[in-house]
Amino acid sequence: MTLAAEPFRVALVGNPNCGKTSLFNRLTNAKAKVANYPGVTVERRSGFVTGLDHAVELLDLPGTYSLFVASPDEQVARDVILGDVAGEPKPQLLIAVVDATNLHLGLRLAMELKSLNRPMVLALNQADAAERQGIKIDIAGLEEDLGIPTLETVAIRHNGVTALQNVLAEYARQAYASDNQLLSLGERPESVEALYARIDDIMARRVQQPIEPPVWQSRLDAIALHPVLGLALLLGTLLMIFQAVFAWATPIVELIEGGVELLEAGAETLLPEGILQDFIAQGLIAGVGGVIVFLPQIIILFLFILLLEDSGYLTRAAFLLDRLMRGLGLSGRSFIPLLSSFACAVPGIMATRTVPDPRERFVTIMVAPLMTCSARLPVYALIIAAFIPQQQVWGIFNLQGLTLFALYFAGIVSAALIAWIMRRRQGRDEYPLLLELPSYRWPMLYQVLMGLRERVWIFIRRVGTIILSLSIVLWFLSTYPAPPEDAVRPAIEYSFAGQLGMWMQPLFAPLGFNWQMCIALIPAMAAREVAVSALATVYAVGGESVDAALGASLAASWSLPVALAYLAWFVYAPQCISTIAVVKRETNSLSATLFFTVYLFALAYLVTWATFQLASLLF
Amino acid sequence: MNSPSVPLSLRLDQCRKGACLRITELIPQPLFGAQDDRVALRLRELGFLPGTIVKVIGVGFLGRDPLAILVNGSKFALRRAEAAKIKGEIVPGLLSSHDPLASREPLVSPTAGEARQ
Repeated sequence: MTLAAEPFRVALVGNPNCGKTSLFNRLTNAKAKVANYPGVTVERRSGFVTGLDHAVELLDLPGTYSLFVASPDEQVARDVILGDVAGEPKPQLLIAVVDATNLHLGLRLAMELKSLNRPMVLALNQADAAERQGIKIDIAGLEEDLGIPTLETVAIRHNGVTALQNVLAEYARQAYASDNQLLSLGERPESVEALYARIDDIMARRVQQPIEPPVWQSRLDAIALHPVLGLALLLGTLLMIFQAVFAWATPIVELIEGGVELLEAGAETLLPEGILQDFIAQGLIAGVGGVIVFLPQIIILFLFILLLEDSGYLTRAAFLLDRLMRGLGLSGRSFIPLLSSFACAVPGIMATRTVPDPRERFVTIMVAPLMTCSARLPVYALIIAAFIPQQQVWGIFNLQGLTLFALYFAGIVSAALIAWIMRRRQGRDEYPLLLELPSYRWPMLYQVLMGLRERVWIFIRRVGTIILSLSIVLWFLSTYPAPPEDAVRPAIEYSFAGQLGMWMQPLFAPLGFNWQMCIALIPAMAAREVAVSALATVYAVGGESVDAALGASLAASWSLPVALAYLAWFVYAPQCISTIAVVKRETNSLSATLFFTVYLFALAYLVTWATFQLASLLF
Repeated sequence: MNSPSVPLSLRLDQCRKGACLRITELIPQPLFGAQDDRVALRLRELGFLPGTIVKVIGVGFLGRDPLAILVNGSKFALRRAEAAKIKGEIVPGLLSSHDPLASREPLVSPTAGEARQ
């Protein structure tokens, strides 16, 4: 095995939904390195092809229909192919990935790529599905007519990519020097009409396929796209997902919480009492553990999103919701980022990259944090349990459950309202929807698991970097300066965080917040749920059942309007440094990030004030 | 009269669910402003070319928007604004036989249901 310093660079190019990423995962054993292209926010996924003598670096370019681009994703694909990205050497070989069940569309891009005169091969992917649909392709004939080396691939089978691997090995060995690229992409070498005429001609000779797509596909769409049945199906699916996220995750969450507590206790017994012990137990383990707890919910939500995405259903949801969301200045395309934001706004904001309309993308980013993320749940759960009585409403509903629902609902309605206001500020050209509804297929376990692993890893890496360092900073702020010898009140009151909380209190007095509540807001900037442990610290409760004890002391010292006001604050306030950081990265604009932070804090202040005043009148 | 002697010319956004249209031309859409040419180009790239037969396979809930269109075996969601760029002639009798929820109303002529392409 020789690992040359310079790997042979290969790029996968293809339409969205052509199975490009499955092929990538199969070729690289799903070992993707995910980074960003310099200066742009589109993900750069690369990996090394396994089982070859030469190092072959495979680049998974964003899906594109054409080199004449329509979205930031497509722009990157084009720029990389043409070698226009600084610091990104152009690929030495292109693999045009064409979905064999959707040849007509895929071949067009392949032919467009061919006009660049780059070394390339054509991978007819999902060859097995094509065979099942009765599509017969004369590979040798197609290869001859297209003038591109062509082979079949089946990304879902272990040996489905062997032929492609062999071809890659051959190219890498020869490290093709011939490179006659047309460096500029000026005029089209031939019109769209002429190109399609050629494709029609080639397909007539080399491909036999049934006129209609398979019956079961049409039947599924007759339901999934139906104005009434389709919406009912979508609503049912979403309800099931939320049920799963909250019901299934609970036992695992409790397990992790138990583990974190054990670790803390272990650190406290093993290490000598003092600043190091406190730092490790309270700073590191409690800080990072408080965020890791959300992993099960994030995994479950993403598992469902990936399943729906892989099966082809998610774009149907976008279809159904497009008109509704357009009333708010968004489109069906914003649905997926907003759905992800119910787990965590960070991946949700990252998912806005597929939105071609820059204005729509901006608005989606601005409202994504109003979707109730899982980090708010512990705060909601604590306060609801302490202040809202367990009683039945109209026989079937539980008042506590209704309150939780109202908090979710408040977030969604506010997001809709804000999107609507932002939309009205601009009179401008419309962007088209033009969204492909891919064929349904049975989700492939391997692909779903690999996708899940990748997303979970991104989250864990964030916990290991941003959240870890923030936990350290916040621990420092809440620990120093140490209380005087004869201190009677909790240590945190003497710390920087405590002083800051006291200093903030007059500002928050109109909202009904006391200084303890203000202190808790500071560490909650690392992650909202940290507010719970911070409250536990300032109210100096501890021991076995922290939540119950804390609930009792909150109920004793806060009035109901204050509790409701605190809930309202957490619905709106951007109490999350990670979200602010990701907004900065994705918008690449300081003013947009400032706007995001200021408007959300202002909104939180206003709504909390109104909630407090109104509740004080009522109760 | 089994089928109209003059083909019915209309825009894709005027078609019912289940209707088939043979595209005759792409017309400008002022809503897209300066982008209109790019939208037309993308439509052509996706296969919406004169001579191609497209079929409406679904319509949205509010204002029957967007439309789901079958073209060359691929399916696309188009808003009415995009669909209004596509002009063509109704192809009678190309109603799919296995679309259980397709509109039962006659599209052009009640007797034109049998003939296939």
